[in-house]
Parts: sequence; structure tokens; C-alpha cells
Amino acid sequence: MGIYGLTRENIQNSLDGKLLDNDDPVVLTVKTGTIHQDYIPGIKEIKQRITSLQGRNSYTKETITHMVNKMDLEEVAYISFEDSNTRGLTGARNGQSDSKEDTWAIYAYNKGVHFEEEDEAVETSRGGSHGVGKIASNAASDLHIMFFANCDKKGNQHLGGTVQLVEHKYNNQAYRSTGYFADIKSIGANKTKFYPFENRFHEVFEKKTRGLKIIIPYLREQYNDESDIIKSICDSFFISILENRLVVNVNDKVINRETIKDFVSDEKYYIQDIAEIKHEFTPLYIDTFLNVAPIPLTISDMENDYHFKLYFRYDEAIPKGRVAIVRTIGMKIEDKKVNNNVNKPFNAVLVAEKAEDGYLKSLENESHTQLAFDHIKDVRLQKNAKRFINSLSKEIAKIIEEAIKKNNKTDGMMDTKDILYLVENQFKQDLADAVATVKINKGKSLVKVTTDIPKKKKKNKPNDKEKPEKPRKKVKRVKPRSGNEGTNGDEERLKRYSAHPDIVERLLIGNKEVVQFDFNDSKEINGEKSCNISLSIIDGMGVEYKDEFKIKDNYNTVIDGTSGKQCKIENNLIKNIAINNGIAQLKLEPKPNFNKALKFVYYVEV
Amino acid sequence: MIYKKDANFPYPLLTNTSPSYESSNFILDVNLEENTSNYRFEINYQIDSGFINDLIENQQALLILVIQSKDNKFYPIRPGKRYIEIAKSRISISNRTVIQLHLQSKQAIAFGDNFDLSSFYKQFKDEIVVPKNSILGFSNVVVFDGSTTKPLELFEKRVDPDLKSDISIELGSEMIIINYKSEKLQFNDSPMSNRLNNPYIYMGLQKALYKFIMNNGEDGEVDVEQIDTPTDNLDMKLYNLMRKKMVEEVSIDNIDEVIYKISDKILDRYTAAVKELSSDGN
Amino acid sequence: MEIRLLKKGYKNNEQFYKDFLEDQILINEEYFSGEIVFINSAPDFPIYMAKGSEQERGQLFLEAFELISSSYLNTNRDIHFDEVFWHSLLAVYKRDYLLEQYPQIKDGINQFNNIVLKDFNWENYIYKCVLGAQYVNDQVTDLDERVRYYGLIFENLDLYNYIIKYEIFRNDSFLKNILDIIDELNLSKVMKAKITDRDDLGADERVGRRVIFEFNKSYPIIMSPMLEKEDLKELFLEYLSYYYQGTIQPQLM
Repeated sequence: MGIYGLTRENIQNSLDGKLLDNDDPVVLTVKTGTIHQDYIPGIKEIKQRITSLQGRNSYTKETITHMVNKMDLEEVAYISFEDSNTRGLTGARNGQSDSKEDTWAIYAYNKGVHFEEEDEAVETSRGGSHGVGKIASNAASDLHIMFFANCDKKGNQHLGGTVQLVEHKYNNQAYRSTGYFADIKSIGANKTKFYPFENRFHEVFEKKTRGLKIIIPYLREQYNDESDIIKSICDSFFISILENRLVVNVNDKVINRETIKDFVSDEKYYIQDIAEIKHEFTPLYIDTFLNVAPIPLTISDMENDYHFKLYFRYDEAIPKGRVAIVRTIGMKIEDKKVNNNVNKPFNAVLVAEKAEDGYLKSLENESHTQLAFDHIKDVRLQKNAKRFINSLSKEIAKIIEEAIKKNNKTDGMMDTKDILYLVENQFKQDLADAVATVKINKGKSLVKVTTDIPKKKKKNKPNDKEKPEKPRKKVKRVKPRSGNEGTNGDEERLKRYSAHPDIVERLLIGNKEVVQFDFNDSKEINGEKSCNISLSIIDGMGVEYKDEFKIKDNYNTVIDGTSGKQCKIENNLIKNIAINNGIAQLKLEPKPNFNKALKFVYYVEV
Repeated sequence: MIYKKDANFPYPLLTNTSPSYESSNFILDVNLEENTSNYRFEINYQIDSGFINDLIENQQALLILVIQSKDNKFYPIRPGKRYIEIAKSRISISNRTVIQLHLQSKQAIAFGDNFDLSSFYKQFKDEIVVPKNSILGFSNVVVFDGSTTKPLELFEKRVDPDLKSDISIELGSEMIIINYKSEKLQFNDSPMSNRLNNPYIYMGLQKALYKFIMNNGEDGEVDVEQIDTPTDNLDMKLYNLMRKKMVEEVSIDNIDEVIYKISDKILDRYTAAVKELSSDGN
Repeated sequence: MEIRLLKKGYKNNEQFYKDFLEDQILINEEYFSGEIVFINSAPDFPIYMAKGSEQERGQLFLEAFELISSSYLNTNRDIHFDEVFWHSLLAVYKRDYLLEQYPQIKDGINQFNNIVLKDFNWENYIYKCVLGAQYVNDQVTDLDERVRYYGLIFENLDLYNYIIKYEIFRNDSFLKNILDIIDELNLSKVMKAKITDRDDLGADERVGRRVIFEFNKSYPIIMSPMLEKEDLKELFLEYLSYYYQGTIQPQLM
């Protein structure tokens, strides 16, 4: 069953033990850590027993060898589950007692028999029906030990524990497999009675506030997995948590109604891509539960109608359809597969009304992981259960089919949208994000698009004097231009690039013009010793004119800023401009008829 | 006329894209309201240069709202003015209306005190004098487009028994139309019909992007960040999608990559659907 | 009156042309989109001024400017700048007038396309007149003055066409200022003159177009539509000097 099941069992037990007259959530604190073995109560005796165990078959031999191997560890891993806002056990002082009210005695000394609530209503909504909880705890320990610290209403603190060994002989006496951590008192001839020890043990074993704490030392390595603990909590109890009936602390993490979404939307714990959600459906369930209005659903067996609330969501992106069956205490029983609908794109959560909870509970299998009928002995009840489970599937299947029909219309020739609905929806969403729509008269809609806004959004606070940091100067890659390359005919073919205006700085003052090129981020150019430069006019509409501007007609002189030499102009191309440290510079003297309001883009040949 | 092409001007301009100013923000937002006879354009702008803001405050420079639809209208925006109204008989917004703020000098402006310039221009700032009636900067562009009837829809499907092929993909004026010869080709009896149609969506996007490149590009490539907002309605939708998904360039060579970016794993979902169908007993 | 708008698909449609000739359009529901536009009155006016003497054409333009000003300009621009509105008005409601005025429409669908269903852009006479009428009306209130400007537009039609061809200078005050400058400096002829000494320019380059093109290239550094007339004139003369070296004789007032 693993840590996943262990966590689930313990939380279920804690929810069962909720204080009846208190609306605060049950708080469960899960801690993992290590403790020195000397602090483990009764460990010496247990080790002696283990040493004397003799296996009778290969399975027990293996178990014993494992225990022997592990028992001498100095620092021992443990896990503890401590609850509060719970009742804890009662009557510990009475030790082994036959009174129904002394829950301590039942819990501590009668494994596998759960005590019944006196209040029947409470009894029906409790989780556990089979009392497997405690055994699960023993199984988590390498030495099969577990302890339980109890603090009752009056503040009495006791520690009990059990160990599951195999039947064995010790000091020539035969012993049964279960050992109890308890004091034995003689109550007459050959009659003994167990009493618990008062809790004065190491702090790991302390329980000072009302409630119960389970401590499992020698925690098996494969149980020591925090993320499984967290997933178990979210998977089974998301409704308890979302309804603020349960808060779980796992070491330093808090899972409550506010934080559960953080865990569920964390890739560390759950697959986030809906298309890949095929095994763990909790992220979908939570979405469904929170965002869909429930519909009432009535399911009948041969005798009665049972009422549920169904949260149902159809989403084509979902690859596997499941229904979370949730008990009134907020615990999910199973991810129900609906016959013939396991691959349908939906997700649903079915929550029992209080009155139907007892019935649901009676249908749980032994490990509370499925609704079943096999375990029911009474033939008539079994038949009825079978009918109920089938009709549950049938009712949900109807809803699924309806949803599919609604979302996949096939009638009508020109009826569009349906099969493209989903993918179209995604584009729609993206388009809606990219543009704003404005409604004007006659309901005609207008699309509003804003371009060129710097990536950094404006700051809205007027008193925010701090200037936004200038984004790193973006130097565009200088792009090769295909087509008729180079303007210099027979000479060796040079490659031509357009220089993005961001890497060019130009200034016209009086009748001097400076143009500087920064090629430092342009690997195609940087490294070359010289280049040729040409230019195109851009008109007021942003249109480029490649041959409109004649360099010779507009400039008297063109001087290379690096060398100070006059540049040769041929074929409307300024030639052999030096590149120094990635920088090329031109100093130009425009003629009088030069239109000073012109703007250009530049081309570079290397 | 609005202007947005990056180019090298004869002196530094404050724009959102040019590096001439160290902090170059000239952001415009416009909201459109209307009553029976008028449209009202409400203006919000933000300029991140103290020097420029002072010029506006002192009325040495004037903000001008440029509204371009079929023709151009220019409205001086004096400090404090927050909206302008235009009669419906003088502006049509049923097609495309493009709006921009320009800043014009009202007198010769010496840049000696302009400490907001980038380092290259700072070294010359004492010599820079921008003449009267010249532009000092321009904002981003706000576009209102009323020409699309379905502004948020990209695909349409039709069934046409007279089709000469099983499937035909048609580029409509604002939508990609997938024509099917029969409903069967839509997998209409499968619950996964949505995803099973994804290859057609893919083909549609491919065709539409190809046309986009033809319409808007040079030499088979389009710099999505540089081009003007396309006038074709379908192109406009693709343009918006690409910008949303931060596609910088689209070319014949990277069409598939662009489709991958703007669509949500449509082929992946298709593959998953086929796999599930083949493994699903029913 | 009520104008029913045509549905897409009427253009270059032989059947539509036939139905137009046989006066069958209005009775065929198929042709209409269902949209309806109301205007107070829709008088006839010249829609095609390619033929005739200079004087005749000028008269037709004036008529069109005035009728458009009085009856159509006050509608929403969504109407009077909508191609479908004009094509609907002409093909559905002006059949008799058009066939009488432009009998060549009967010669074939090409003539029909060219006269009645011409694309609504700068080459379309209605477009020219709507835009011109609007710019003049918005800038000039005096009725006689308006007539003078209509005349100036016709007189400088080549330049006017060039100005409205590109969206950059489709602006009322720019047009008025340019017309004023040309008028004041008596430059109409100069503007129309072909540039012959510049091989680098196109074969049909005219001085006026080049001057406007210089304004285009200078935009937005020079926001010419926002300039006062005198500021604009200074630049106008500078740009003119690039292409015309003759003397300029201002018109005698």
C-alpha cells in the first residue's frame, strides 16, 4: 500500500476523530526525520526478540533477515502523523478494558476491530470500516513497529505501540506474532492486564494536545517520500481541504484551501499538460469542482433513490474520462471508470449527500479504493449493490453522451464550428488576448490592436519616479538579401546586408552629417576590415525607394571617419569604408539642394 | 498619415523602437466612445523623457493626434486635453482606423539640455538644433478594425458534395475555410472528431501562412515585428496570433515551426487521438 | 429614400449586367444583402467625366461637386465612403439616368464595369468628387469661394489625382494650402509640365508630382499637412527648385 496508502489511512482516521462540536478544520501534521535508536521505547526488548526469531518458510526467513539487517542502525528514520481538533482516544487509564467507550483499549489491544460510534449519524459518515489503518502502520516499518501517543480531553498523555513479528519462542516460551508496548499488571492468579505507559518519552513520541499521534520508527526507505505524501493528501482529500475541513502540514509545507492549488499546479507533483493526464486526475478534479456548477443526480438501486451532486465538465483536451467518487467526509474513494467511456473527454466529481454516505461506505472495498459488491455477503444486498453501481455508470454515461452530442453537432450542412470547436476556441482565446474588441452601434464589433509597445509595460503609478530600465539595446541580425546581389558587376561578388536602423546612428548638423555603424553584434560583418555602403530613401508611408537617392548628386564629399580619407563613390555605392573594432563611420557634406528632412536605411556589402 | 517604419532620421527621435533615447517610451492608448452623431477618441499617453515632457508643458512642442482611415486627420492635443470628437459624417470606422501621436516642434529646439539621449547623440547634444515644425517623436500605433465580421474566428468548415476533391482548403477574406466533400470526412461519428480534424487545421494554417508571406514579405520571408499591420483580414488574424506567440519571423522555411508556436500541439493531439482510438476496445 | 444594398458577387457578373440592361435587378431578391441605407435625397449627378472638351468636363465636375455637397456629404462616412452604397445606388436606382447619360454602357460589360461599377478609389470620379467636395466644404464656408476651389481642383487635376492617390496627403488643409500656393504663384502650368532633363526619373514625370513626392519623402520629419500655408510655401518653393529653374510669377491680385 506504500506511503500513499498509509497517509490516506491516517488522514481518514483523523477525520473520523474530528471533534464533534467544533467547526475548525482537522489539522494533521506529518513529519519525517531521524531519531537515535536509543530513544525508541522498548527497542532493546524488540531486538532481543528479533534475534531469536526463526523462520519457518522462505517468506518469514526473508522478513527476519531483513529485520536483523536493519535493527542495528544508530540513526533511524521515522514518520509521524499528529492530529488536532480531534478527540483522541478515551479511557487509556483503564488499560485493557471491555467497555465500549474505552476506545484506547480497542485501538491499542485489538487489532483489526474498529470501534463503533455511539452516534449512528457520525458512524455512517466516518471513513474507515475495516480497521486496516493500524496494520498499515506496522507494515511501513522495517521492524514492523508503530507507536501511538494519545492525549485525551483531560490532558492525560499515554504512549502505546505494537510490533508485528512472527510466532516465536523466547526464553522457552511460545509467543504470538503481535507484541504490545504496554505495562502488564497481575490482576489475580494467572490473569494479567495491559496498561499503557504514561508518555514521558522523547519529543518525537510526545503528544501534548488533544488528539492522536502515530509514530513509525524504522520507516522503510521506499516510504520516505514527501512528494507521495503530498500527492496522497491532494488526491484523496482535495474536497475536505477545499471546504476547509482539513489542513495538512507536511514538514514545512502547509496544504490548505488556499495553497492546495499551488501544489496541484506544480509540475513537480502533477503533470500539467491536460493532454497527458492519464493516471492522476486531481488537477482536473479540482478545476471541475471549483469551476462547474453541480447538477443533482439521482441513482437508484432496486429499492431506493440516492441523491448526489455531480460536477461535470466536458473538455475535448481531456484524454481519459474519470469520475471522482467522494464520500461526505471529503475523501475520494475512487477514480471511477465509466463503462465504454474511459477515453471520453470529460472529468467529473460525484459527491454524496449526507444521507447516502452510509450506503456508499458500505460499498467500499476493504482498502477503501473502489466501490464494489463482492465483499458483501448478503445475497440480496449484493445484488442491490451491483444494481446501484451499474446504474451509477449508466447515469453518468448518459450525461457524457449528451455532452459529446452537444459539442459535436453533425446535423445541418452549413453548421460550422462544431468539429473545429476546440482548436478554434484556442485560437479565439489567443486572438482575444492579442486584440481588444470594442462594441459600437448595432452591436458591430471593432478590433483594437496596439503595436510597437515596448515589451516592458508602462508603469501606471504616477508617483513612480523611477525610470523603467532601458531594455538592452537590440541589435538585429543583419540579414543577407538574396536576388541581384551586389551592385558592382564584374568585381568579386560581395554579400549585401541591410543594416537595421538600430545599429546605425545618424546626425545632420548644419551641413555636416555623421553616420556611424556598430557591427559588434553582427557576426557576418564584424571581423571584416572594410565594407561598402549604400542607402535607400524611406518615404512618409514607410515605403523604401532603392534607386531614388543619388549619392553623388546629394553629397559634395564623403569621408571615412576612421581613416579620414575621402571615399570613392561608384554605382551609387560608397566604397571601402574601414571597420575598426566593429565600428564604421562616415562624415558627409551634403550639397545645398539636399533635402534635410530625408530618412534612410543603409545597406552594407562585405 | 501615421508613420512606423524604422529608419535613420537626421536627428534623434523619441519612439518606442529607436535606441536614440536612453529610455525610449512614447506610449499611446486610445479608447473609442460614440454617441449618435460623433465618435470620441479618448487619449492616454506616456512619454519617458523629462526633456520632451518639459517641451510639451512649455508649449515649445505640440502633440498631434493623427487619425488615419480613408484619409488623414490631424488634431493638436494641448496639455490637459484628453479626447477629441469627430462627426460620423467625417470619419468611418467600419474599415480600419489607425491612430498615432506625433510630437512637432513649435520653434527651433536646442538639445543642449537633453540628457535623455543615448551616448552617441549625447556627445553632439550641444550642436543639435531641431528646426521649427519638425517631428520630435512618434508613438506606437493603435488600430481599430471594424472590417472583420468575426474578429476572433479563424476557421470555418463547410460540407459541399459537389467538391472535386475530398477536402479543399480555401482562404476566405477573413477565415480559413475547410471544405469537406462529405460529413464522413469530418469523422463526425467519433467522439474525437475534434482532434481527428487537426491535420486539416494544420494544412489550413500552412496555406494561409504561405499566402501571408506572399502578401507581406520580401524574398519569401516576413519580419513580423517590422511590417505594418496587414490590411487583409485573414493576414491580420495570423499577424495577431504570431505576435501573441512572439513569432519574430515567418518564412517558407519556418512555416512548420510557426504553426507549432501558434497552435496548441494540434498534431500531438491528433496522434494521441488516433492512438487512443486504436487501443480503445469500443 | 431607402437604398437597398447589393450582396457581394454583383461585380463582373454577366447576369447582373444583363439584368441591369433589362431592368430586372430590383425584383431579384438574390442580389441584395438585406442591408438598407436611408438618405434624404439622392439626386442624379455626373459620375463619369472622361469624355468631352475641357470646358464641358469642367462643367460636369462642378455639377458633381455641388450635388454631392448638397445631398450626400452629410450622410455618415460609412455610407458615402462605401463602394457598395454607390454601386447599389447606381445599378439599382439610377439605371435610366445612366443609360441616358452614358449610352456606351450598353456596348458591353466592360463599359458597365468602367462607368457604373468602377472600383471606389482615386480613379473613380465619384471618389474624386466626394473627397474634393468634402475637403473644400470643411475648409471653406463661402459658397462662391467653394466654387473657385472646385475650379482649382479641376484645373490641377493631375496633381489632385496624385495627392489623393496616396493616403499620406489625403487631408483637407494640405490640399487647400497646395491649391492656394499654386493659385497665388500662378504655377498651374509649371506643375503640369513634364520634366525632360532628368533621365533618372520616369518618362511621364511632372514637376507637380515631384514636388508632392518631396513632401512625401520628408514626412514625418516635416508634417506638411499640419503646416501653416506660409511655412508650407517656403518648403514648396525649395522642393520646386530641385526640379524647376524658371522664374515664378505670382498672380496679380
